[in-house]
Formats: sequence, structure tokens, C-alpha cells
Amino acid sequence: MADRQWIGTTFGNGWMHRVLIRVLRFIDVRFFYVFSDIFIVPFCVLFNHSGKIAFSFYRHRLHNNLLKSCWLTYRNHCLFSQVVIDKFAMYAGKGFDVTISGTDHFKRLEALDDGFIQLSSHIGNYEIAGYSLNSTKKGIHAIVYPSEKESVMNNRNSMFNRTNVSMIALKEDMSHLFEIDEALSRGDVISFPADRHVEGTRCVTVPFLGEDAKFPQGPFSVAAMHGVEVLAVNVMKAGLKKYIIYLTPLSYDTNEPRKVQIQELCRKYVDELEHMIGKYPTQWFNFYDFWA
Amino acid sequence: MERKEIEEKVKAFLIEDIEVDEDKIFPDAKLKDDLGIDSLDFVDIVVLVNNKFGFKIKQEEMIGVDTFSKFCDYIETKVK
Repeated sequence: MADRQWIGTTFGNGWMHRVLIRVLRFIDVRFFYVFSDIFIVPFCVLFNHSGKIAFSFYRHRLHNNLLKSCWLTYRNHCLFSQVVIDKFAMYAGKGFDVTISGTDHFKRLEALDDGFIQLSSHIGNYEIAGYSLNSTKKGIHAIVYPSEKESVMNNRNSMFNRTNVSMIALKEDMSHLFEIDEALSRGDVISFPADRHVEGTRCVTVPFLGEDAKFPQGPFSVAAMHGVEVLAVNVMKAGLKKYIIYLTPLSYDTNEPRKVQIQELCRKYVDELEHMIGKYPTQWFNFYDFWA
Repeated sequence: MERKEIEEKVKAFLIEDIEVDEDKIFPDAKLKDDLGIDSLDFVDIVVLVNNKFGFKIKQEEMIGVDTFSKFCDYIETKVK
């Protein structure tokens, strides 16, 4: 079961994050990419548990040969370090070329009185969406894990202050559930991570890349219960300083029983996830045994 | 609405919509620990209570409401 656990926090401490942000103000991200690709990634691939997990993903899940699996594992770790560097570069005020595919879907939902739900996964660099995908008509509330480092949360807050995006942290006192309900009642947008199922919470089991995998039921259930529309949002790194935000509407039959709606929504979400992984195989960043 | 009717309604939506096992539902059952209701299930429960009992649960009123029985007590005071 240990393999199934994940920490939900960014590597490093507050001091390291502050230094990195200061340095990134003056030095191009490409310097850090190269440094990381040569001096950090090989070490992680060989000695970190993530290397083994990623290799297994490319070899057994995506059915690549041995050499290609090794190469993809290395590239996967390079890309992961790059998206983390990009995240801190954004905190440092650096800009990226971000294009949006499917803007019409967002604009259509934005114009409705009802709220809607955005679903994301730990692929690509979802945080970029928070700074680039804004609405002038609706507030956007991102559900976040309370375990994230204070320095990262502070930086996110300062970035979000420039937008109409706010964060709702999952808390023990359940205050988040009222915030979610009120936001949807106001017609706002709630953004959920939809790929990580936590032990002890309800899940939906659907085939994913050839084998049954568990996804958290909550985000799909909230959508079905409120009868709101759902948008899959995937932000993929498409070049050194280029990102593409893919927006895909996920339709479901609101006349069906709720359990059927949840299953249908989850299945369609997973279809979209598989499509993205097919397109960007090295940007899958769940470094634990997803199918355990 | 009678207490018995409230309990039946709550039990029905817990079984049907939240997929709680019927045999786990007893008066002192803890909502989180015994019935396995997770944080996002509560978002559904807010909507279900609104649909079935006609009022919206308020955060401040839910303090200390941690068992099936206390939850029914809370609904009883609101619908009276």
C-alpha cells in the first residue's frame, strides 16, 4: 500500500524556494533545465523510487521496449523538473507562451448562470491554468491539499491575487464543503484534481490504460449532484517556454440515476486522460503505483 | 415531520445516494468513522438535505453534529 501513497507537496523547504525564485529573476530557465537534466535527473532516475515507478509505467503500461522505456523515464523526469522550474519561474515573474485550445467551450460555460466544474490531473503543469485561464464573469475556486508547503501556498496566493482565482483547502473542519456548495450556488467555477484517490474515501473504478484503476468519486459526484457541466482541463508543456491548455467538455446524461452519471463522467474523463497521455507520454507525473 | 419519518428519509438517502451500508447505520454511528462519509460526500449531503427537507445546512450549525442521531436531531430542529 505504501506505493499508493503520495505526499501532495512540492519538494524543498521555504528557504530553498525563496532562493530559487530570486535566482530565477535573473537567470534564464534553460540554465536550470540543463543543470537539472545533467546533474539531478540521472540521480533521481537511478536511485529514487520515482524512477522505478516511471519505468514500470512506460514498460508495462504503455508497452514500450526496454530502451525506449529507459529513455522515456529519463525524459519524464526531465519534463517534471522543467514544469517545477517553470512554476517557480512564474512566481519570479517570468512569462510563458500559453495558448488555449477549446476557448469556445470555456466562453459558453462562462456565459451561463450556472456554475461548472473543471477537472484536472497530475499531468503537464496544471498550475499554469490558474494564472492563464481567467474569467471576468465568474470566480474560479481551486481545491488544494492543505499539506502543500507554506512558501508555495504564499506564492500561489500572490499570483492568484492578480486574478479572480482563489483556493479552497480541504480541511478537517469541513468548512471547504460549504465553500464549494456556496460557490456553485453563486454560479462560480470549482476546479478539482480528479486523478488521485485517497484510501478511505469513495472511488470509481474504471479501465485506464488497459487495467482497472481507482479514481476519486467526489469530484464526479459533486458535478452530478449539482447537475452542472464539466470541463476537463489539461495544461501540457509543448515547447521550452510554451504551454497549451486543452479544454474538453465532458457530457453526461442528467436523466440517468446518479450512480450511472458518476460512472459515465469518470469514464469520459479517463478517455480524455488517455488521449492526453497518448499525445504527451512523458508528462504523466503520478509517481506512485496508480493501479495498486 | 415526525422523528421516525426524518430518520427514514436520512437513512434512505445515505443508502441510495451516498452508498452507506444499511447495517452500519445505527443511532450512535459516527458519520465519518463508522459510515465512511468523506469530505466531498458532505457536499452532496448539503444538496440532498436541501432537496428533501427544504433548508440549507449552515456550517456553524453543524458543529458537534458527528453521529447519525445528532444529524437527525439537527434536521428535526430545523424542520419543526
